[in-house]
Amino acid sequence: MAYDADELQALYDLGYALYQAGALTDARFLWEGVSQIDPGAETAFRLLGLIARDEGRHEDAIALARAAFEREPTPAAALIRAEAWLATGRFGEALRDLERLALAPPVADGLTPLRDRAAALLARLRRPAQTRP
Amino acid sequence: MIERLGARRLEAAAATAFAGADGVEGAGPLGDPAIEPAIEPAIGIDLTEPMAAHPGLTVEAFLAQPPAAHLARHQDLGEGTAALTRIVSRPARPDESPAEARLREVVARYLAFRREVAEGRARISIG
Repeated sequence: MAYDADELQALYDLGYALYQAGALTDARFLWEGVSQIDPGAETAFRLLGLIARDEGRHEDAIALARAAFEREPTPAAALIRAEAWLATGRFGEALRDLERLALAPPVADGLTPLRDRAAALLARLRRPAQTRP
Repeated sequence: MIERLGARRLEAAAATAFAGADGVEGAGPLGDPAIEPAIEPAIGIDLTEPMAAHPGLTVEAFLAQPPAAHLARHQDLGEGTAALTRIVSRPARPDESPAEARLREVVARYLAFRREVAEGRARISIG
């Protein structure tokens, strides 16, 4: 690999920062590059899935979240995939991912917002159709 | 860890300014605002944690300092800059992919922006 650990870490930090700043095109270019430099890691695929979701490319988001999940089954990747299922009207698949997420034990500090969001989406899905906004 | 998070927060502020300077698009609101908590816990920061590099100073207090102090600290904490500079300084490999070339181009533009900040020709707003 042509990139050392510090360089990869700096790319990851910049990639997160660009995404957080809303610079989606630059973030996508950066994470696409990282996905080739570090193809075994789930992070680039998860972030590319997030960007696809934000850009309304839901089929891409599903494929990228799946690629991330195959590398490491993180709750974040599952949630991105679930949201993309929802956006494309595949409620059964979304329900399956969301139920699994909502039941996940709180194993990590960062998991609570994900579980809360999954639970909120689940509640909305289960609400009778006529009461949905 | 907290030192790293502080650096990351500052990196995020620089990236925000970079995005504004370049006029790139912003991420719009997603889905139902009522269920829109942070989706990306990996970039979450506990502002009340003390910083390893600055004992007695929490991340929140650090961020409340005047901009000049921020910039100085930013350079202190910007260990990523050296690594990014190495990436763009190397000649491209013959087998470099288009995706990798675009990555290097983004990093080069970002570093150029950071130089403008250091020279006072651009500003980073940290809130």
